[in-house]
Amino acid sequence: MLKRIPPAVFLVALLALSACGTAQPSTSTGAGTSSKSNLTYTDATGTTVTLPAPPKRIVCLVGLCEDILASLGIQPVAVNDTLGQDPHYFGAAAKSFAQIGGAFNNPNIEDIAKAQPDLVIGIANAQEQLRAALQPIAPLYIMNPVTYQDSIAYLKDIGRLTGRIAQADAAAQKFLNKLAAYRARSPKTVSTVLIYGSDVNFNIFTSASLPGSILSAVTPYAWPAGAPGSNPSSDHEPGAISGSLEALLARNPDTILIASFTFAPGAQSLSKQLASNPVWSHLSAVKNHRVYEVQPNVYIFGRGTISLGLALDDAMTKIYPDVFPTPLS
Amino acid sequence: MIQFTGARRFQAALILSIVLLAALCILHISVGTVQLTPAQVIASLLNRPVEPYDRIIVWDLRLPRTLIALASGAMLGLSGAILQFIMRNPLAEPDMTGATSGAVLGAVLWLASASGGTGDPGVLVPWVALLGGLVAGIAIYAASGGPAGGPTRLIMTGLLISIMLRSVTSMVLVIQQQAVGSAIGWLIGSLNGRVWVHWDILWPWAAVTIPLGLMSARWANALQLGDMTVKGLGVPLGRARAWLFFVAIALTAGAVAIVGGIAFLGLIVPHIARRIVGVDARRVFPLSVVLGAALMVLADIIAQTAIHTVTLPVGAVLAIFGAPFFLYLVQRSRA
Amino acid sequence: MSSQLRSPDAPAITSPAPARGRRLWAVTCASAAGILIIGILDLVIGTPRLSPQELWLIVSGGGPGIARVIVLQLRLPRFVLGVLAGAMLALSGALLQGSLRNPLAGPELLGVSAGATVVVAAITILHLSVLLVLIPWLALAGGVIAGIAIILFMRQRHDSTTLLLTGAAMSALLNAAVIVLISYGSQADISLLFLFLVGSLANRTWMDVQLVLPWAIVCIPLALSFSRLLNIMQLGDDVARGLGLSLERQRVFLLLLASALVAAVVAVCGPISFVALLVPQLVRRMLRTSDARMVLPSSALAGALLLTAADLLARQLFAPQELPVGIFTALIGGPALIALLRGTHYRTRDTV
Repeated sequence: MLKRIPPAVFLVALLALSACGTAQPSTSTGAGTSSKSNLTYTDATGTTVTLPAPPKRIVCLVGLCEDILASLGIQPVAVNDTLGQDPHYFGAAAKSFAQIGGAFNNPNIEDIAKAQPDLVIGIANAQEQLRAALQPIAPLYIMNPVTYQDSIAYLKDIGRLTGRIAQADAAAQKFLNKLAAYRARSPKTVSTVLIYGSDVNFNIFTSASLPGSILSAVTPYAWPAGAPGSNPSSDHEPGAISGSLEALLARNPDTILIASFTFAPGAQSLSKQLASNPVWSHLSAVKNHRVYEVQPNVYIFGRGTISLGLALDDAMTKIYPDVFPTPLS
Repeated sequence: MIQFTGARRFQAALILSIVLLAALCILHISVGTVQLTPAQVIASLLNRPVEPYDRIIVWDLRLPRTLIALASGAMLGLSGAILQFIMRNPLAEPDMTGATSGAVLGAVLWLASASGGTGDPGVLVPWVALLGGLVAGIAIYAASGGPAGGPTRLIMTGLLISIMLRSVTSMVLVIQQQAVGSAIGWLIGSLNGRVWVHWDILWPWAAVTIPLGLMSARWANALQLGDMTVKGLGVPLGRARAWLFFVAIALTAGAVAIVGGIAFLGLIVPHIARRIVGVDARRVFPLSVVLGAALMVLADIIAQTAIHTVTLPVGAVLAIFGAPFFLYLVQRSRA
Repeated sequence: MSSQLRSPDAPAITSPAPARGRRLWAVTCASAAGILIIGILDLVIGTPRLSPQELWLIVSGGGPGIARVIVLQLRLPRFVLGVLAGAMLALSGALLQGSLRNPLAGPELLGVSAGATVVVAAITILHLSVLLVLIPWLALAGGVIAGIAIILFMRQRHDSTTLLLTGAAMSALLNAAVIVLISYGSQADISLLFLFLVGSLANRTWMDVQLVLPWAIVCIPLALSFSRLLNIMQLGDDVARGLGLSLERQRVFLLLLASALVAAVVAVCGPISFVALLVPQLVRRMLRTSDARMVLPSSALAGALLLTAADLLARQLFAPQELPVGIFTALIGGPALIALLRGTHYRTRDTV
């Protein structure tokens, strides 16, 4: 009997059946955000959502969310890291935030459901997959900050949705003022670059990246966007490219900022690992002892105006210790 | 004392397995990070009034997860059984077809090309993975000489191409590093976040391929007899092998497209089935379907409850099962 | 006696001795010359590109500081590492194929590579503070444990199918372990690890060469010294035993040696696939002999040539983007192997 029914029939049956059951993807490319009510947003994936009410219970799946909420004066109901416990954000109060289990890219959906959120905020290239699973639970807001202007835009958008426009504007202005102050007083004579990684295969931030965008605003940045070897759409962090000591040597920045991703207590920082490479000692930054280890949380994982402000303070006091012995407050 | 004839034994095994499966399913719906009592679960299932998020958790998260585990486990179990019959070797498993690596590569390529925040790629990924698995499987079959090649050539080609596909996958993730975050879920084999949307894609595929596989049991039996005998019996050897291989690819690709790369289910289940009901494919296949479903559900229960507050990916649990089982196979092997 | 050696799985050695000698000489010279040429190209090409005069200047002690550093501290060690790794991988494949009498025996198909990889991946992801020097030893342990299962199996059945499937099951298990480890790594670790998983020679320096060198110095001559033993083993299990060989012990030792060769390379470069499988096959076909006394050294040379050539391609083909060398060996080696093995007769059941 099997031989009589041609396989083609089965294939057709298969396709017919599957066509019945397919749900339509719920995307719509939102145009501008101008003439929308204060409860509608279009996120980084182009999905437009209208909330029924200003969100009060927000689940954060990324540090930028906590940064933004801290600026707005809202506490998240659940988070998936411990960034918020830093006193610049929520301090000790963050210890009582519920924790979402699972991996960064694959958080436990039930933990999120347990928190009964009105809104879930996550980041592109890691969490947009969750939209289908979160459909019955809460809307998802995906962010993709590539420059500091993007970060401020997200701050203001969340501020608009939660009805805290004044706080959002205040925080944005505070950061922009700080940036302008540093830019005005910076001699702009010392070049720098930010690199990150956990072993010899490190990455370099170009000026088209988030930390790069603020650093290049206040001091010459050794890696302009669009430099050969950079391909923004393929990078690990937007605007970061894989680095090599040969390339660093070619540009020879005056100072080097290093964010080491090391988590074990005894692990070596990236600068120590690179120091074992003989090319390292030929860099002028190394010869003049102007290599500085910096905090990844502040420079890379925070992504918000609070973190970027702290990064700016930290960087400028290191790069121009005579001009800025203490951070501009 | 009851004499268990083959047929009786098979029926008993089948019924017991189905009962086991039902019990596991109920258990599966009850477990998760949020503690729900069985009463709450049943109340939610029967649409009685409960806390709103209890309903969401049971209906929108756990029920589809259980159903997907069931269907994908059944498909992988059957696929493994079919392959072991084609290869005439108890060690064959669905990854030989290249369907797993092909499906994973398809998913990764799609995510890599779609990454950067321009639209929501999520819903289309399973379709692309399905396509990838089918293409890889068919390519392997063709490269190994089609119906003329023997099982060894098929296995060898399958393995070599799988290694190649895995290398390409890694390379894509190196070049397009932004895709790594989203791609991880496909590489491991996980049921986290699988909801009704994914079930909608899976169930038609299962509804067609599983009966196809079950109906092919007769040909699978014939292939066991050795090439000469088979030809002598008038069964078209090449076509039989091709057909069975295609069905195995379809089963594997469909399952992997939804849950990601899962290993070992296809290896373990047919063994257990064979030990219980013997070597008749008409008995091994159906039992593999039920046992496969049961094992996947069981693995997911363990994945969610083994370590408090941490949910393991189900692929990891199955791999952990696989290791001692594999060693057991090594010990037991006879010439 | 050596000219009469036949084995069911290898092309028969029927060519007369002088012709073989000529072929061996030709292959050896070609490989050596090829390695030299690739070496020079490797040192010259890149950013900055050097002219031959500049290269000569640098080699003889002078030259501008930065170019000197780049050539002597970055490009040269990378090339040397490529030579060593290529030779070690090819020898590993030749040893396994000879001792198991199967053209499909290779560290990637037997799970040896996967075993070494999972250990190194665990060390990297869990950020275990392990002494750098110890890592190859731990990788060796991983590879050997994986390979032992194969050896145990081979006691009962000798056919290609079982070999492949056992190895595949072992690899699948270990690969699953690696993926799980990766998924629980931090955001940053994950992408770095995929680079490792493909196998790469990028950013390797003299430190890495130092790590591999002792292993190369000990294992390569040791492997070459086993040529006669391998020739005997090719006569078949019964004959070998009849000649007084303790077959199991020798097989285990050969597996240990092959794993050692692979482990050192994996510890430094990651799992580079297909070199070990492909090179001995190619060499056997070119020399038209299975005589291990010729195949082993030629494989070492050919392996070195192949890997360094692939690395040069990997560095320059899409410059300035660098691709890991493992992707080239996989994409080119895979189809090449499939084509090569098409005509081979497989033992599908035991014959002894």
